[in-house]
Amino acid sequence: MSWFTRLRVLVVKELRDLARDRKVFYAAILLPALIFPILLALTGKLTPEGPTTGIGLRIGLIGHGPEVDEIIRESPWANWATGADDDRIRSGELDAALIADYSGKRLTNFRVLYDKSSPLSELAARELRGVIERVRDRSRRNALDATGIDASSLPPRGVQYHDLANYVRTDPPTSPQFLPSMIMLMMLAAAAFAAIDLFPGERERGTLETLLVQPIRAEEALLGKYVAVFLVGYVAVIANIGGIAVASTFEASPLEIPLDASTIAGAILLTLPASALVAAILVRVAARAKTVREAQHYLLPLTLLNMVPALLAAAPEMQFDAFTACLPMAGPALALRELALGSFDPLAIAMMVVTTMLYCALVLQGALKYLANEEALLGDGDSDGKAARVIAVALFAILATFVVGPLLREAPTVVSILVPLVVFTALPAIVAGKSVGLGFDLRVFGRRTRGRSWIVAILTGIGLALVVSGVAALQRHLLAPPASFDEAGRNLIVSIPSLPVALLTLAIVPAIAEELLYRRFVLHGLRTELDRPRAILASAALFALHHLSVFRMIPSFVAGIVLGRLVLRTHRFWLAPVAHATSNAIMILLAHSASPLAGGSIARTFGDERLAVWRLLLGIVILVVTPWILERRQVWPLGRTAAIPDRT
Amino acid sequence: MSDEFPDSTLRTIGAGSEIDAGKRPHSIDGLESYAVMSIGLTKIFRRGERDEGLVAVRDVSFACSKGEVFGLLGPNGAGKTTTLRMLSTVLRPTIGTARVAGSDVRRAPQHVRASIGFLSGNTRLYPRLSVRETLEFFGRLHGFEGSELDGRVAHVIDALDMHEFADRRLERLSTGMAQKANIGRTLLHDPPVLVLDEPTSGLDVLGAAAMIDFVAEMRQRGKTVIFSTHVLTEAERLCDRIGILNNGRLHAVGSLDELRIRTGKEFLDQIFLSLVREDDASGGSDR
Repeated sequence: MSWFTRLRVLVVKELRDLARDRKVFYAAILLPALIFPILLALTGKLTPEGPTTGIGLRIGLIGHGPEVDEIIRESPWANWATGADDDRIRSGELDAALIADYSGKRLTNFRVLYDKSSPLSELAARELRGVIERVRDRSRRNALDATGIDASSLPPRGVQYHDLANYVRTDPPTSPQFLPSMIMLMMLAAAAFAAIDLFPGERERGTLETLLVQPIRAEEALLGKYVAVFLVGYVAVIANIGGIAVASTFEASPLEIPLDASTIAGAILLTLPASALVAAILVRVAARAKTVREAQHYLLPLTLLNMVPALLAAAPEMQFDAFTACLPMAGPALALRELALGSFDPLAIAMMVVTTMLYCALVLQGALKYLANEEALLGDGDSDGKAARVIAVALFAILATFVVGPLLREAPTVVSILVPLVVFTALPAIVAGKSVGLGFDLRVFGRRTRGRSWIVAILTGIGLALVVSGVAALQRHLLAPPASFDEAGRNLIVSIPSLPVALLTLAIVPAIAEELLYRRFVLHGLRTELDRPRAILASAALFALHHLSVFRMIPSFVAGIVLGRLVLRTHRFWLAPVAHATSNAIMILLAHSASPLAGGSIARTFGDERLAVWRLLLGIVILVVTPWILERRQVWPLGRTAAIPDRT
Repeated sequence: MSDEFPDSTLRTIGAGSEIDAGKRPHSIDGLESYAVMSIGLTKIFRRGERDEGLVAVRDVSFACSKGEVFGLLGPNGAGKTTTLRMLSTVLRPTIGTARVAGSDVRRAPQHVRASIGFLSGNTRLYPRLSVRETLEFFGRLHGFEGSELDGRVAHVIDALDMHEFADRRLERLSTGMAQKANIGRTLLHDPPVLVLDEPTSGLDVLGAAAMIDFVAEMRQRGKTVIFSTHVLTEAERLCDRIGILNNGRLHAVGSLDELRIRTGKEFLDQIFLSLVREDDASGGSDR
């Protein structure tokens, strides 16, 4: 019997088994198929309709002439008022203003002032645009008819629109932006149920060993389960897209996607690589779990983690190109978004397919390697789920900061900066610390920190500042951030004029909160199951994710590695917040206009774009040489203490 | 009844000697007369590369002739399940090897698996499949198709009198019915060797009696049966030879009469306790 026949027999059995599990049926078919029709039916009834008519809008008017008279006649919906200024519009006294600029008797320009953050003002501007264009076109045509010139041969004349909003209203993501992440979520949920059932579920039911005493290879058993998990996830995708297609036929459907047969077929095909990758990841992770409960501990954070890149597709500034196509999960989500928006980039799609399948193959190979270990296959491994729990807590902190942080920081104040740090970063680490056997006991912070240790921490902080600023500057050459990113950073720093308060709010408290979560709690939990390098890399990756911006992730990742290494080598937790705070403080002092560091050679050293490479090298030298010197003086301990337990 | 282990073979495989991976043979060609032959089987469970590990089974050597019923007796944690898992290729021996139905467990694990029927408390059946679907699935994995598969499934259902519940899902069956289906699964491909790990565990009196009858019937049909148990009356009634495992070591092997002579005790429970205490007193629990 060929391996393919055996694989087919295994897959058919797994699917038959799964199809009879109600949970899988609900997750793979019922929920994905019905969620959009139900959501749209509900939101259609519950969402209040926005203003659709301009009747009663108050429009201020400056300037007078025959064109303005005509506009007033054509706008019976408007309440006209004489005069206008920015404040009257921002305060809502006026919904918009029309300014007609005349040079003598000749109209030179129309200007419309409005506030985009107000739906009424936006509507007023839209209504005015229609009237102005009608009136102006008519008057031009009349004038040109008199001279015998063809009006269509002239370039169109514009109207200037001035948005007076203090901030630009963030529009909710459109359906092409949020649908990909929803589809990914449905796929993940369904495939996760299948993966849990086929690995820890079978271990609990005692059926895995029955399979392993049959004349098949362990790889074939794994592949059979993998294909079944993949198909369940893919069925969920198809059901979900089918549900969207049905929902798009609803009257007044808010979906802005042209759901013809080719779009549906394209979406189903584009999700194929993502389904393959998701199934591989889930199989790899579920195979570690001895029990269903342990698997849930693993898969909840994993699902959240997978959703983060998928959610990137909702960010309009994320482009789908050959680079972003290679990002795991983000690439497929962006490809789906582009399909929904009606664009097609064959190179990016090819890159997405190739890289996603490559990731899939690597993950599957890892799963095969892991399951080649019979103890792992039979669930006799030594995992106790601590690593999964700390990842779950970290992802909760990241998501909470993602959701709440921007709301609190819309107008940055000390309180709005500190609340997410304390409530969503430090507190989860402290509260959940007991779940990984890490009580909030000062003794576990390590041996008594001596004076020279603070020198280690401060020097590490200086080195870290140099390295991070160097990496950030180099990253700008590859991935230039938008102006709004730099602007937001500057606003945050200048929002607190007092330097001591700024240092406390932006340097010290974030350092303590983030280090409590990532170096004490997460690193500690990960070390129970991973070796040092992997634990440091994983905690640094989560730390990078916490910074919620693709432009800050690489520098944060580097910082996470440096700080993780510091804690694991010294076995002293408090050195990490000190180093972190030192690094933050240097950046704040440089940005703060009142700082004596803001000018001169120090500022140039840290801030000059042309010195990025030198900064990076100098930072690395400090980070490498400091421990070397101090180890010789026996300041840097090499022994093991209780701060972060070694696994072995 | 059974073939005795030749002295030369014992010397070759070094039964009872200390573990020495370098000296231990990893193949046992030329000993085809035995249905099962274990040579210095050792299993060490390690957690991580630097972990010294737990020696679950140490240097277990024995042989079973074709048609013999061999019982492995031992207290909980003695290493019975680990030994049977190595014989059935679920676990790979750390040191040593075994030959089952003519195939080496290290070199040809798939051939071994095709030649055995393995039944234990950890080999349960899929609750959401019916008995017939289950038998068909395992039959296909053994390479049967079409009318041959149908014939074998029908024969097993008939032989074990499972007509009444053959199309019922296993989750809706009693423990005894499910155990019958599991026995059917082990017999479907007519294996020459049956490996049964505590087959009566968890069964009621009637179920246990049926299982004992089943083993007796297998002996009559010329199958080699290796089974582990801690129920001494089962071993006394069924086994041609008995191996006493304690602390991962095979402490004694022989027929009931041979063990009586060795220990000077009359009943198996007395023999068992005598050997286990002797082993514990000699520091056998050095795992």
